[in-house]
Amino acid sequence: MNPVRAGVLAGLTVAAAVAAQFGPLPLSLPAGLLLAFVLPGVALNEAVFRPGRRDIGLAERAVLVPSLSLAVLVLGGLVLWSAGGHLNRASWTLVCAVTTLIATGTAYYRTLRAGDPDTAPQAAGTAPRTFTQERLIRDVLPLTLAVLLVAGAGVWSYADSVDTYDVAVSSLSAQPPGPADPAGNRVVQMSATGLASADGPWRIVWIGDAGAQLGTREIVPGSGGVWTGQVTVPGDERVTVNLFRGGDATAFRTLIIASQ
Amino acid sequence: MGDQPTSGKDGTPEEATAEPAGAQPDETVVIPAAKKTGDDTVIIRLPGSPAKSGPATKRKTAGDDTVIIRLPSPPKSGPAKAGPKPKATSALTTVRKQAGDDTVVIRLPQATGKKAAGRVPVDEKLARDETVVIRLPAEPRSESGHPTGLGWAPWVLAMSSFGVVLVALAYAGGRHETGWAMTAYWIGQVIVFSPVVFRLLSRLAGVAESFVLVMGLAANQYMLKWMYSPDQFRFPDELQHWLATTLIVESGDLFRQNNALPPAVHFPGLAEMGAGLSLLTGLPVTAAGVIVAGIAHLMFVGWLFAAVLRASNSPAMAGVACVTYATAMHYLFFNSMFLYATAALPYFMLTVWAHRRWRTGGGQRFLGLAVTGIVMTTVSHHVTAFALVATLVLLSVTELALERPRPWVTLIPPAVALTVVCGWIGFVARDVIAYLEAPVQRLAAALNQMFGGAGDGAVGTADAVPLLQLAVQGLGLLGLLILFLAVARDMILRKDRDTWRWAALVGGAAFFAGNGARFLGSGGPEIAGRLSTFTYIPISIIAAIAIVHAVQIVPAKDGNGRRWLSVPPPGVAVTTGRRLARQVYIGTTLITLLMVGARTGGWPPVSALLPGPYLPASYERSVDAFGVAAAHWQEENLPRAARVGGDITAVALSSTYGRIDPVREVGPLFYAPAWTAAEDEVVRQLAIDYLVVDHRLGDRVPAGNAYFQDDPMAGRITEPLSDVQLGKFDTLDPVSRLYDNGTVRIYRLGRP
Repeated sequence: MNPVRAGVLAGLTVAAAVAAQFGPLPLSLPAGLLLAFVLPGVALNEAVFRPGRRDIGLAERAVLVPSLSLAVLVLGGLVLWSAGGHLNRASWTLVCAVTTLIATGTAYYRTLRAGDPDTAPQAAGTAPRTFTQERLIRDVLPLTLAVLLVAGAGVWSYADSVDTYDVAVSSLSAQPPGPADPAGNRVVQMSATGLASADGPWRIVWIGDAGAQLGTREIVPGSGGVWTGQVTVPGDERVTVNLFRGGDATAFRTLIIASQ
Repeated sequence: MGDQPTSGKDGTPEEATAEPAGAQPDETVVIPAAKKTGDDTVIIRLPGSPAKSGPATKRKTAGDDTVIIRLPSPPKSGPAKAGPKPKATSALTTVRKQAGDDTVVIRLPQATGKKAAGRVPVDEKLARDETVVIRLPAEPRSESGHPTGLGWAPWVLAMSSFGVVLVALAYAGGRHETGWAMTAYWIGQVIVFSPVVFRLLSRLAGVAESFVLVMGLAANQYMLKWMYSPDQFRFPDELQHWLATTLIVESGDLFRQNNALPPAVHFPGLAEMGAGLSLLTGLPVTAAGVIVAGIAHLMFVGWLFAAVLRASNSPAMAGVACVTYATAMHYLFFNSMFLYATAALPYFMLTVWAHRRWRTGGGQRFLGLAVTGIVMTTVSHHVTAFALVATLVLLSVTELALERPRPWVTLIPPAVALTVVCGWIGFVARDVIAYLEAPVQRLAAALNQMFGGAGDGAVGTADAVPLLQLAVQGLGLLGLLILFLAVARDMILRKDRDTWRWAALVGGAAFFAGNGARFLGSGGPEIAGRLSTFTYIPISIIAAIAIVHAVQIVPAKDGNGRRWLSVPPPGVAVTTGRRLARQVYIGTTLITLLMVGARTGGWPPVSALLPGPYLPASYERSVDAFGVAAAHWQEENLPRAARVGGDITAVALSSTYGRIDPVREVGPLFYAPAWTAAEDEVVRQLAIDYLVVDHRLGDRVPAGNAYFQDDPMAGRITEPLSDVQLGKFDTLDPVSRLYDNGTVRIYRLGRP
């Protein structure tokens, strides 16, 4: 690896590490992707296989880079954790960045020792490719079309799925009631979610064993259609708590609190 | 496989198609051989051969790998013997013009009395200078001879992408229950797949084009998987690994208890990848998981391509092997889901590739890469690790059996793999043995049933696989079997000694043995699919050999009137013209048929090929906002140690989003028409604290023959659960209903 390549790789690694550690999502996203899938693999690749030699082909290099990068993520994490480390953003950033820098240094050192004036790892006998109008039509245009089609289909499919499954769920729930107080009553912490104010008014009615109404309360959902409150019920009765919506005669949601 | 160029150890496959450095513009290869013609095939038969040094080949194409001139050991009998035996000096001279044209010139030492090739390939026969000019199929002009030429791959992938759009429309149609969705789905699947297959089978694509084609196809097919459920993971196993990843992100620790899938705790490869990416990028775990699974899927396909390319030095064969593997039943879903096997598979193939490179003189660095692959596979997935050990053993045994002197050093990789796997299971993942007992027993029961033993009923045969589905799968399998037998016959009669081909043949036999489980009722496709994840690799390679090398399915009779025992011509088949066209069409049809069979017999099941409204116990189709909301309520309100039971979907959601301890064997509590002491005993034995009851279980019978895991009624459910069965919990005095969202209810069992 020549000094320029080594410098670029090292600089990119440091920049990516800083961005991943401190940057906002638009910066940390590409930086994190580079650290996770690209940079360690590129550096290790250069360290193991000297550029300019025909040890591995282009396809193999293309697959080896993410493979080695992910191996660094996994094995580095295992080693770090085994050594008592904590796996968080900083530690994983360090694992990836330090590995990349060490591998870059190794590749550079090997080149120096071999006295091999590093050249671009282009296959001998092949001319550098140029960007021509013909190539624009043959390669770039259709590939762009393919990417746009696939990306468009993906975005649209995502939006459609979210729209389809994003239905409002209205629920009534109670936390497991605690023991009865000295008066024989229990306080039940209740909550309701997904209550649209437009569908109101909302009220809860609780009924005892014999069907007698023990209490009722109008409830006003707060922001997001959520209501929380407490209901006191007798400890020795099986209580049914009904949530009614608007002028409905039948309960919209029902809970049952068993007797103690 | 055996067609290794003599320079293959030092050069890259890409360079094999390009002009070698320093070569003369008209490089000449001297082959001491004669010629033989077929109908549309040029066969160069070699009655004599130099000293035994293994098959030596010289490829003389720039992208069209069907022109492979191979020098195998001569057969002791057969028509080759009857041919003229030229002296070494009276050589056949082959000239490949490197000026970007598509012509091979074969100079013959003496005039022959008959046509040297089929009518299409032979343009010219010059008796005077004894030269046969064979016009080869044209390559992409602008990229001819360039190792990175993409040829028609961009346009083919653009066409394939239209299929992706069509399947996206089909999925949307499924969500909104439109009638045309299924038709669009199948048309889209074919458009995504078949153009790539067609192009690869045409054998006009070089390494770069083939690689781009198979990777593009893999990317498009991953999109098909992702678009099925793009907003969240819905398959239970993906949810389990989502939790494993989330636990690492939240705690920073490995090996944290995961009640949803305890064995996954000790195979943290995938979870580490997901957690690392999530932390490094700031993405949510779900998004990170989607990216990791996609990259791992592409890596696997890339390594498969690289391994076959190295073994065959043929981009066509590598490409065809990859697209054939894409017809494996679980390729599109299980092998590309956010599951720990998905993380292990690329390293499985990396190890195989590195093993190949090491054994062909690549050096110790490849052995080091193989060890890295072994370790990564082992820490990622148990079954894949076992399969890797078996594969390495197979490769070593075939090498030991065929090579002289025996290369004992080949035992190093399997020994290392066995040590690493045993060490990991012995010291870290001890619980995996108990975990694998159940599936092994199910497999044994299935095999027992297949071979006429008494079924225990748990395997489930009530829901027979639809006849059409069986027919499609059967046809595809039959095609593969024919190709397998043709290659086997060819290898045996040739006295083939290529170790990798023999290993692939043995692996292909294992595929057919394991694939019998496909026809074992409702559970059959799943068992066969899981097995085929590994055994489909060798059969894909065998199929690629058969198709690309045009192995004769029905051989011609030899001079002794023998057809099936006639020794195949040891030379080279240059397939062009109508014969090539026929092979391309038939091959494309066969592989497309295999793909259709895989979609119908793989995952998701036919009843849920499209996303859509809720279906009971139908995995992805059962996950919707109601179930997820109930699971989130559990996570917020119930202790982590709470033991919660429910149907398959409820348990999957409760144990992942809900973070509770799942109880899966609660079927008897639901099927009972009334609550009795027996149900109380079940609750006591299983220590159940809560039950999740989805009232939609009463809407229809489950698509998969079972509402629950270990369902006592599996395969025998004829009607949905009744209101009495589902409503009895409301009448039990000691039971509280603590959650109700109109669809899903959560009951606390026992008095507070």
